[in-house]
Amino acid sequence: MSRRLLWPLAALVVFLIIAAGAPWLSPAAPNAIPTEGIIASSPPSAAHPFGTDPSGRDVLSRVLHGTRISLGIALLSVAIATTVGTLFGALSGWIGGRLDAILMRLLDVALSVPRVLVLLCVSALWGALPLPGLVLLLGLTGWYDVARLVRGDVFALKDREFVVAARAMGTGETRVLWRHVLPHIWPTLVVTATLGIAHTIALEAGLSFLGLGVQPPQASWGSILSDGSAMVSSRWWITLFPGIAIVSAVMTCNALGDALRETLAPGQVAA
Amino acid sequence: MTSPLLSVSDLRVSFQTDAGVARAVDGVSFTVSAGETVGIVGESGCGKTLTALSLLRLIPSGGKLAPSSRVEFEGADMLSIPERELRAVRGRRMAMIFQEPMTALNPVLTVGDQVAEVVRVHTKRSRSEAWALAVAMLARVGIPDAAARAAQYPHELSGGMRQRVMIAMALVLEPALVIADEPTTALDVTIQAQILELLRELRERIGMAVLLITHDLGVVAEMASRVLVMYAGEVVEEAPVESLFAQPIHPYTEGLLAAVPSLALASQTTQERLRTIPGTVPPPTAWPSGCRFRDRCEHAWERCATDAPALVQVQPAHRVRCHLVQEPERRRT
Repeated sequence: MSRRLLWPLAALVVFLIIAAGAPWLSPAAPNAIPTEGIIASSPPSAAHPFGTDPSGRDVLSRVLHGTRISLGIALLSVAIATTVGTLFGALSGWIGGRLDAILMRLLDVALSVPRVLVLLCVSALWGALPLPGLVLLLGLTGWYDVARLVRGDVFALKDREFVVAARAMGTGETRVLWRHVLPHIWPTLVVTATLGIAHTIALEAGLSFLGLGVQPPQASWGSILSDGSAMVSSRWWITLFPGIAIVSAVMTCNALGDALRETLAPGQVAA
Repeated sequence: MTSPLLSVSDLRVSFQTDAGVARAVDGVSFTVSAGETVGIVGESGCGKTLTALSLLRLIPSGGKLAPSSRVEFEGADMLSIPERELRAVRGRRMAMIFQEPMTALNPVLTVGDQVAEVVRVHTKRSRSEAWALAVAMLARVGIPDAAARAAQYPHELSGGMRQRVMIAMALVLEPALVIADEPTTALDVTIQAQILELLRELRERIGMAVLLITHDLGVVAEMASRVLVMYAGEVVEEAPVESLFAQPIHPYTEGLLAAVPSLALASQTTQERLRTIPGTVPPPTAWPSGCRFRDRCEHAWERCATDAPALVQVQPAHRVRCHLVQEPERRRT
């Protein structure tokens, strides 16, 4: 395995361990408010390595639990986007003809509306969006690029000789698509999904920062940023640590996506 | 007389292109009896491969079949039966060996999987039974250590081995007719002989009919009992293989035979040059009026430009599409 792939992969594993083990790794519960003493925001100390917020909650514990929420939302919504996009794109490219033309024009319409605008409108109109709703919203607005890529790949593959040969052997259309065509699209899907995760982490953080995503007191990287945004200069530790988490997670996924793109070389059929 | 296994009549396939309608296959008729080997010979672009694909109703997108076309195979009209019945015929009763195994085999599936898939699609055998059958078939087509080879991917095999896999896929269910589209063209000469030998041997054992499509007259001479010569989407001559080689009538057939290099020729002291047919096959959007071969024919006269020749019977099994049949004195010597 190339070094380019190794480092981001290792970093991703660390993030996943943190997400899975947040309740055990955290020194305190994410929403726990001290029961005695003065409730105030304190700078990093031995007891609270990332400091506490104005409600006295431990920022480290909140960031660790936020990892779970932020990554969970990103992974699930990208899974939805990849599934929907693959089905849509494969259908369009495989059947082709008029259906392809109609589906692709619909996709053009969908792509012409900025995603952030849709996200802002829906989440603002909805009020407090529950987590499953947020996942669905991010998933159902994130599949357009996947659909286009898959459609292009399927379109290029469907007249290849091995596809004709499979048909000549009596293989049914669904099986040809599933067994003979889709395996060639895996590299494209893996790369797109990885880059999609990076994008979605940033989007979710943005929405939560604006108060439209994950709702307080639930901790996500974006919502912690939002909590601390009014006091960046005096209580820097509340925004710094979730900020670092967001930047490093996004960079990890981008680096992984780029490394995978080079390793798997999508577009070329693996020989 | 029993009805033939395959009977093709007036097969016409056309494509709408920017340059006009391309009549790529234009009124082809022939029959293949059970167990018989028929060769289709012609240059690139004469419609051989498209004819073959049409028999399995695998017409490339954009291609249109004329309503008069008929392909009858084992009593079923291949061009009109429902998709489900058609799939039951493909690969089981009528199979195809493709020219280029590198592109006709799926690079992401093991060769054993690809042979086993044919079994799985057509029979109720379990995964492991299908795999066992695939391995047995791979061994039968002469792949050494078939059990290990079955787990390999196409790129791990040599060209000759890949073509053997292709043949295993086509023959695993012992079809009644196999269409071999240039089965040896992509291979080295020594491998070509092995593959032909294998096809001959399996043909005897399975008792299948073979429709052999090739531009190589040597292959036809070795394998086929009857030959169709195609030119510009039409059959121009049809004859038993011996009479075609002994007395070709159509000038195009003569040209093809004369254009085969022979070692005897090379050893002659008088350095006679290999004869060729001048020009190329015209594009299918613009077949010449009258006889389609007249631009390249040394015998052509006025009638050839105005009057399209029909396929006429000259001997019981010999048919020719040329005006020379009626006016043999026009032949220039």
